[in-house]
Amino acid sequence: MNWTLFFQMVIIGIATGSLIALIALGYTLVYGIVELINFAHGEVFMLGAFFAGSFIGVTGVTSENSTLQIVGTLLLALVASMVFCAVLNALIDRVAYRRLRNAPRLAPLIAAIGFSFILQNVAIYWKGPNPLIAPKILPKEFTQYNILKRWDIFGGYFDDKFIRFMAKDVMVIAITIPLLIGMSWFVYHTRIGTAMRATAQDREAAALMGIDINRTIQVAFLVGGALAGAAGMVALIYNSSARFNMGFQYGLFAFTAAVLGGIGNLFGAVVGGLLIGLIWAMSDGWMPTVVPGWGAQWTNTVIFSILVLVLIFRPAGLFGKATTEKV
Amino acid sequence: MANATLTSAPVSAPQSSDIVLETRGLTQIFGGLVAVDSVDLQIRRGSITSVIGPNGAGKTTYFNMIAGIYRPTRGEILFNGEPIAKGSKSLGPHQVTKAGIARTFQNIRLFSNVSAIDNVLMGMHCRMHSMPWHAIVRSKSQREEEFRSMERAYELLDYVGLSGTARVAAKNLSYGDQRRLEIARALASDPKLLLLDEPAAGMNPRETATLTEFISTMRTDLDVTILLIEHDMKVVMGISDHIAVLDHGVKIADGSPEEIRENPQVIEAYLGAGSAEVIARLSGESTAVAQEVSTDVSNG
Amino acid sequence: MAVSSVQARTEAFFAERKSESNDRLRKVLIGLIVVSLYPILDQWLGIGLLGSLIPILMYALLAMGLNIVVGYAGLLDIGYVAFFIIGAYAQAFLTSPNSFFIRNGVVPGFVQNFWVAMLFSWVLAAIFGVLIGAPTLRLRGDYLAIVTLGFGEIVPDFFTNAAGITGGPRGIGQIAKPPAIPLPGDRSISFSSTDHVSWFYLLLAVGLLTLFVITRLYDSRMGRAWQAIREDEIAAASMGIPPVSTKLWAFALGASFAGFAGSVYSGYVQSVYPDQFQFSISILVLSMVILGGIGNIYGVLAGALIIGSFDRILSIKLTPPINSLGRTISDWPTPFGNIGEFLSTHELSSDRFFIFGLALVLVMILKPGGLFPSKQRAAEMQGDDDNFEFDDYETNQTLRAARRKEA
Repeated sequence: MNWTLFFQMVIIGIATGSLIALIALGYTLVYGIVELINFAHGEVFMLGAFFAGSFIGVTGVTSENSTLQIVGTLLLALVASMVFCAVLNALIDRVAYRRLRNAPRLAPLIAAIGFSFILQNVAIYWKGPNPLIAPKILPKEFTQYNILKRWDIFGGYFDDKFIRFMAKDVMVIAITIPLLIGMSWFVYHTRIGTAMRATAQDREAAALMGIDINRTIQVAFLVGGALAGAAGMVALIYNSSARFNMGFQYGLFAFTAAVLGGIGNLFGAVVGGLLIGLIWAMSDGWMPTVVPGWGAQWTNTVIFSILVLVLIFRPAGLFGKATTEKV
Repeated sequence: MANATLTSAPVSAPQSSDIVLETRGLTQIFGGLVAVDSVDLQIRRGSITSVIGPNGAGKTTYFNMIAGIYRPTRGEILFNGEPIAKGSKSLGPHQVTKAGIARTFQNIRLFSNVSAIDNVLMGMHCRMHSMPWHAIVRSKSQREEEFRSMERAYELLDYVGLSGTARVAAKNLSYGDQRRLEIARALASDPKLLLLDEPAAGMNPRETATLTEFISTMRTDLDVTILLIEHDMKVVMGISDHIAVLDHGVKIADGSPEEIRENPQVIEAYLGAGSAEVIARLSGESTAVAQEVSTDVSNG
Repeated sequence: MAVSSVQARTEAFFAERKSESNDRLRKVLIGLIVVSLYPILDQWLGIGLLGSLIPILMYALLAMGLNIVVGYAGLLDIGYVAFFIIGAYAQAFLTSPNSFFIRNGVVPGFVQNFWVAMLFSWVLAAIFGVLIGAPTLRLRGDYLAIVTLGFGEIVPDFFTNAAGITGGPRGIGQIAKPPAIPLPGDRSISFSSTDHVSWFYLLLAVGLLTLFVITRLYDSRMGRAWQAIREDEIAAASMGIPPVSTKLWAFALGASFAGFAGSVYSGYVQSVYPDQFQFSISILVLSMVILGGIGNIYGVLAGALIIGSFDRILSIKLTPPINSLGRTISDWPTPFGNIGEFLSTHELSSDRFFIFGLALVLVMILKPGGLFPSKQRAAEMQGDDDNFEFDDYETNQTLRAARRKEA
């Protein structure tokens, strides 16, 4: 058993897992309130990656610039892509889903599927069907820099030969955690967050209490979109490329994460995201060394099987029952 | 399976027992809330039995357990002596209907975009036998069955007084007609026991009177036992042979309309603790007043 | 209003229905004659589109099958392609000399005939429909959609990855074609891939059979049960209609027709590989059903024709004129950059999914019943019931309770 590889994959799994968690939150927020599987959410995330790429490209900042400029540009790109995706997501809601609030549930779902295809094509018109290469903004030494090697705290165990803990892994976590904290603060400690929770519990009652339902739903789409935008920017830098069809896989993995954690449950979405990230990394990198004949090509099958099995046997997800509060 | 044998067997079957439905210790717990608490009840064949009680007394939950929508937490339900819910096993709603129990809904649940006649035909589903392959070749038996069913559906519409509206979509019928159509649809499955969930809800006094009369005729015409939940005391007192009163999930009384009317526990359940004494003190004819008041309260 | 006897009204009802169906039959026959004359016209005028019509007819087969699931039973299946693959590979396994099963001598000789294998593929797809449907049809509508999507991904993945049996990404070739039908006088109808005319009529016949079977089914006890379940599952169950088995019938029948289409397809192209069967096919077929008129089989056929001809004919034929238009206006300035230049190299076929996606969205917003709606289905999709939300919530609570009970 290759423990070194195992731990390496744990690190990759946590990084991709937090990315998935960000996207999963968007699904879960919207589902909690309007009970719609926002099929186009993965594509919003993908366009976030594209937008961040263009944004960094336009600023012209590259790895040659000063650290301050690089960090500043990255932060700006993060904010810009969050705003972009938030607006995009809310716009889709405004244009299509809102008109279908009183229609059977299948109507907005079908519209969402339609939007998912529209957005994929928009990405193709914008950047072409080939993978978009991320601007070289992080210094090469930085992306390949093994932080733990520097300190040598574990007697050289974290050597390049062994486990690498890259600066980009740190970047993902450094962006994700504040966002998660900010978001839970928003949902649990602001007026509009309270309104969201109330609407999720009982839309009729919330409306009777004077909550503006449409505005609350809009905020859910804005917040979900912003998180997808952040995830898009991070994914672009982390994978150093993006493609028009990446939203499909990430979106479905994230949806699986949301279902696994118990759809509508914020905490569940984060745990589900991390779990799916770990499973993804293990299936891609570690399983082939333990299971003969295993390969990364089975990852999709594994994750979809999890989705199907959870939906059939435990539709409330891991945390669906323990935490009745949903958002 | 209890259902199959019961469907077409004549009522005068060897089971000499004249109890159609019996619940023993029937209990439903939602989370920590005991919605129905060990209710024992026997329903006589051919009777009209009412379940009454204040709002939230557990009447509809009790109904839904009989209809197969909820699985009882404890207790059992016997239909013609055969268990339809016992222990961890209970029949689903469609099996219960096939066994001979049909129902209507408190908030009308017709197939609203479908014509009245088709609604009735859909209610006949479990009494029809043709399979998809018969339909593909349109076998003789299938055609005959379709014809017979259609005739029966027209008969039922006539019976409930909807002769003229067979081809109208259910949602375009008037409220009273929708209630009638629900009854016709329930009768289509040839029930031995008919569950009516607040049939008079939302009706004006005149419609209510007609309905009350209709329910009692129906019992004699169709040889069907009727169990109803109703708020309107005029209906309940007027047609019931037997009344059971639920309060907070517990059956607090059970007897003829006269017995129920005079039962102080029932009056208290409706009007609050001590009210029976107050009423008794205020008026010589305590029962008449109590009945008046409880009628008003439950109507309001 | 004087009311005639029950029998008289029943007879009148059936007579009316009969005349309606005769009317429809007449229209279908006229349509059929027009369509079946097309190959002659095509040859005569040298149009050369017959080859493109064959995939359109296959789409029509798929769309009719999916309409049972989505239109009749109201179950959103967005992984319909899974059953198409199963049918196509079943045909390949049963007839190709390269197939794992034939090499190991599992397949009896008589099954290796195209027609027999087709029946087997049909049944096999139905069996898979039952296997996949039985555990999942208890799920709520939108969850079901996602689970079917999952299967739509897993199934092609399986055929890609289980290379030992399926030939992996390169698939299986040399699939049997229908044996030539001998005609008097030394001639015969043969079915090679270039015999467009024979394939055209074969598909037309298969399509008619499908249409016949489906319309008969819908106008029967089963069809009414589908409508009832679609309108209100709880009420339907309380009226004695078993929800799971009714839905399972729809799902399995839908699957079987996809398998049927798959087996014909694989006999036509004579080799199958996983990349032919992408998620996008599920969406393509779904767009046909929804654009044409969910629940109305003739509308669905129209949808298949519209979308299929855009997919297979217009997007190819219209590209050169658009390119030349682009070249003419290449020096016109616009605020969005040089549109002319964009158009001059643009391939319309790459817009397909943009347009299908747009069609889904627009139909849902503007005309939820589709272009040729079934009256009843359109009313349902509109959701004009004021209390819908509340009702829906209540339904869900009751459904959940019912499911807890069943579990």
